[in-house]
Amino acid sequence: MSNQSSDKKLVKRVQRGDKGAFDLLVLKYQHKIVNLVMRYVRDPELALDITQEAFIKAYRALPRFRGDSAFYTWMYRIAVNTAKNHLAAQRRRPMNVELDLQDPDQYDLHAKLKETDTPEAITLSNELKETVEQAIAALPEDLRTAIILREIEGMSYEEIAQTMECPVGTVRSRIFRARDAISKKIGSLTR
Amino acid sequence: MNDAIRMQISAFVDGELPDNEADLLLRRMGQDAELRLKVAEYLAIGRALRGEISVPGVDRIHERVSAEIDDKPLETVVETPGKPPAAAVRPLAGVAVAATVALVAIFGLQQSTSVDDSGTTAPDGAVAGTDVGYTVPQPVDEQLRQYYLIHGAAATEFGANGINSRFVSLRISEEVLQDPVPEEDSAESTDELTTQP
Repeated sequence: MSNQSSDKKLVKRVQRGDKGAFDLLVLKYQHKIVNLVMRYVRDPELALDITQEAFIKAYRALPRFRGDSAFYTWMYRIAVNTAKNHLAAQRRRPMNVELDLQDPDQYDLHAKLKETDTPEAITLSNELKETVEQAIAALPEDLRTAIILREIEGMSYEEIAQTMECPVGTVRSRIFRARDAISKKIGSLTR
Repeated sequence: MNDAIRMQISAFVDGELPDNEADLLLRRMGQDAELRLKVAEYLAIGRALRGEISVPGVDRIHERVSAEIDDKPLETVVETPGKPPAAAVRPLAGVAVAATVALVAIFGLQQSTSVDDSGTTAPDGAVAGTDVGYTVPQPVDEQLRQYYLIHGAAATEFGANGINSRFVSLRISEEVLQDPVPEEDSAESTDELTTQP
């Protein structure tokens, strides 16, 4: 089941009244959407408010969502419109940036957070990154290779199976065991 | 939460969970917040590996949204079995509209030709009044029905394509013509959206 397929199933569940399914959609995309909104507003707190508002708008509009477009594409447009509406209400001109639908996340969030005096974001991310890297280094080689090919190279399970010359089921197991080992090390840092 | 479920969550995060396992897991995750937080944890591991930076507080957005929507029941979509999907009905509605326009033109033509045809009576024994060419108006639905029946039969005579009229007359008889569906899947159709700042 691809991500798009799982999103479709989740949307159908939300439309039948499953709020937990919507929570899952928010968990999946909250980071991406916040990063997108940060292209329009400087203040991280304001970006969080706008993101929250965008998700709530999406929730209310979901009964009318047919699924002809991907959920994230639809959510992306709602978030952009919500941010623009906010700027219009604040009588500010929107930032003149090219929006890249393929990779809206890392345009230069690092620099933006530095400007806005939110060093804690960078500190926390660095701490988490170091802990994860230490956990990765401690993994057996087959687990380390599998998780890196998945998370950094973006390979599918099938591609990883061909690369590592093992069955897809083995790939699935190795990636899970790698994540499990890492999550035991990072504990509360991710919550 | 056992290893099997966590492994399924891990595959779900990667978009690699088979369909036959997905439905049950999604139902479980809808009901169990702990399972959903495991999804968030695995996603966080990926972001950390890629060196992505997060805005402080972003991990709590889902809690804020949940709190906001908790007291707002969603208008649920109820699927009626056997009811034709909106996408299939829309073309039929378009045909019906086109045929209705043709009806107005051709029915008027029939009215005028019946004036010249002294030996012809209107279908279904509509009574000619004392004025030449006047027929007692029938109820609109009946007029439409009769029009399509006659138009379909006489299609070749008038050079028109009788297929659409037969099709629409069939639909009228089945009484399944639908209202046009509202615009959907547009961010612009959600509340309070504007396209210009």
